[in-house]
Amino acid sequence: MRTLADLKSFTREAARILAREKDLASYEIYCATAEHRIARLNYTSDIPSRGLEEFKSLHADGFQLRIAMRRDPHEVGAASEAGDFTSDSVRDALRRARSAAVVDPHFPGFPSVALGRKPAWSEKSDLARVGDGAIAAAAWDVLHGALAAFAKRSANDRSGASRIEHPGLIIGGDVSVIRDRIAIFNSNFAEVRIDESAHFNASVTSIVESLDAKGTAGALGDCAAAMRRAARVLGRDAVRRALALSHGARPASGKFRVVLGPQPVAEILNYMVMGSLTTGAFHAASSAYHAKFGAPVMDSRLSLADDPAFNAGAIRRRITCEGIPTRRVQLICDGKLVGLLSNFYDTHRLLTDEHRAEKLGADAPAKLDFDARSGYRLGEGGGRRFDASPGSAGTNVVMRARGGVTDRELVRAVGDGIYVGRIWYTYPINGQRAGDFTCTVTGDSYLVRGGQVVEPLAPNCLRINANIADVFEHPLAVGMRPHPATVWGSPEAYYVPAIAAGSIALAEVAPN
Amino acid sequence: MPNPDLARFCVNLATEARELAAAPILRPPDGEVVVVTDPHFNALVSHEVIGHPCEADRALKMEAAYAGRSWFLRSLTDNQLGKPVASPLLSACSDPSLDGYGHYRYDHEGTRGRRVMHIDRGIFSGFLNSRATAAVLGAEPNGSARASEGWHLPLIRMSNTFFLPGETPPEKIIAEVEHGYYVCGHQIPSISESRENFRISARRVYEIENGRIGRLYRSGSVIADSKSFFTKVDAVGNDLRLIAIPNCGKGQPMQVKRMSNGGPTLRSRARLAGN
Repeated sequence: MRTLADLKSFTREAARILAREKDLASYEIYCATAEHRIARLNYTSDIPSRGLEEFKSLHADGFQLRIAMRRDPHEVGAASEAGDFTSDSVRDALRRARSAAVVDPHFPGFPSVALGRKPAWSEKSDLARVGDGAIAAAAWDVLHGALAAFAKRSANDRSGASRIEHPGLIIGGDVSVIRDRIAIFNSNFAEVRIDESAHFNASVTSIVESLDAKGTAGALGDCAAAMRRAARVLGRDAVRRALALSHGARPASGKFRVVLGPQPVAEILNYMVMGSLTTGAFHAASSAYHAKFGAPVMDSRLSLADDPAFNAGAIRRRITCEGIPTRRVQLICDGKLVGLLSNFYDTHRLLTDEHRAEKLGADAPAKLDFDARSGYRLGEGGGRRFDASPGSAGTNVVMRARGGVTDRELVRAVGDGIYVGRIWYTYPINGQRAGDFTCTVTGDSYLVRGGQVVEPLAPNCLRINANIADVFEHPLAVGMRPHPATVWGSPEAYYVPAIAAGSIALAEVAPN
Repeated sequence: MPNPDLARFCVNLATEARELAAAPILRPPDGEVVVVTDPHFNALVSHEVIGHPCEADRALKMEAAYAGRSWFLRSLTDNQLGKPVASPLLSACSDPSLDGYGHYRYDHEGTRGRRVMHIDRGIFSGFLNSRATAAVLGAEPNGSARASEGWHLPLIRMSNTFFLPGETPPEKIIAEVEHGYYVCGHQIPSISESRENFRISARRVYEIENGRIGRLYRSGSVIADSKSFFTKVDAVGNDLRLIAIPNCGKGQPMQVKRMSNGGPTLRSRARLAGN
């Protein structure tokens, strides 16, 4: 990865070149270098495998120019260049940006927000420099922990169920480090702005096919010590959870009272809610909360925010990929929709939209502003990409509940029902605006009777067919603490409580 | 059957949007019903429920933590190879030699691509493989390992993966239905962990009464257990279409690849869902 000093120096030089061009009204130079390093687990007891696969990585660095022409400040062009940080490449990118320029009546110019004070947590993560050896060692720790837990359980298992000759043990998942650095300057800024971030994400799935059992574990964090700590327990936890779920029940279809654990809540937020909480979605009239800005959209006990400075958060950023200082964005407060994730372009476009009153709804305050505090240019894996356009994304998504209860009280609130610990393949089956979703219950789940967890549920035995309102509008109870939860492929880290919902439709899936 | 030209495609899309805006949401009946699924809908069925679980890396559990396993292979000794998984009327294959988004001559291990039969008249008959997975399965490499970019390791990928056509005109398949639903155009899929069950939403659902297409509904989807759905197929159309799928994601790190999927009109039985 290139250093911040390299990026800053190049950005400054590129700005000098662009400042001399008389036909430009304004301009922006954005540089990013990003790495996604992945150690993938692939252990199968009954099929040849390597345990840990060869290292995989994505590495991208380069810069992007955006220019607005003097003859029409709404005539804008962009061009990017990978890897070549030279004056010649700036001139070549400028030529391409000029030839690609088109008139965009919504173009609002470039931001001019002052940088302000540095936040207190600006210290760099040591994950920015951690080598492949440490990541691979963490992945082997996960695997060794998993195999040790399985061997120990087999040795202690008097029934012999887990000592069979072909257990069909699968350990999958990965330990990944995502790190990036950026430098950005536009013609409204006084100086080049820089930022860097790094975090790890680890997820482990353990399946014991002979027992029809599946358990999972995940962790995310912002330092190498946390990665090492997580690696020591994740494999063990995933295997223990799987073994605790052997030969589970397969309930018939029906409507159930359900506790959704932190992972299902995070997954539903990620795939069904966060996309609706952007200015872009409101402009496109595709939000599930269309015409409900300022109105109650969740139970009054629930609040949701995006917080790039969240103390326990894995993803910490000081400035956005548009050079704007980051800030906590309150999205839902006591159940009411009060804020949206936004980038500079989408803020302007929604605020100047002639149909905004209809799109936001009657409860929207007369004086509105949507701070562009969430404009990121992200690539696969969630790192900052030099050639991506600014979009709206979160960082650490935190859900909190007033009057939250303990896990035991959540289960008690359900009485007779199901505890769902993990869901999979959650999609807005009728489009985002409808709020309908479907997914399958894949593991870590139990039957609840008389307010007690009584029996494991077979993995993949139920499909959920529900609407986000069924989950968030009238919950029976909400957990008191947000727990970290990972969602595969999501750019955000989630910190959410479990939620007990009163009536969720579940359809049985035939055994495979 | 050729795909429509661009002008007709655009007019069809606009017409569909106008009609759907005026259509009621599907209120599905309880229990299974007769469903006639069109080639566009079947493209997503073939993609999610045949193509992905026929990838040998997935079948051999290498993707278990991400996109799941395969309903065709529980273990090397307990699997569906040579066993019935569908009606004898149904066959499915992958064929990179055809002119589609999944066309290529050699895969990214240098193996010549060739037609791989997955279901041959109802019998499960083979996986897409790489050289390494072919060795594990004791099969010949069939040229299906491909990467999306030069810097990625090849994964096992579909090519042109589709249901083979039968001989019945689609009009006749619909005309034979006393009461059922004509399910047109795929929208969004959700499949279970080994793809043994799916819910796929359709762009349009029409009621069929006495062999005639009737009222249009929106927000309808088909829910079925895969083997049950395929086993209940009792008519296969002669109207095969391949649909371009430009953005199939797989792997960690994610690789996005283009391919074609499709099939003819099919008739089976399944549950429907609305919203």
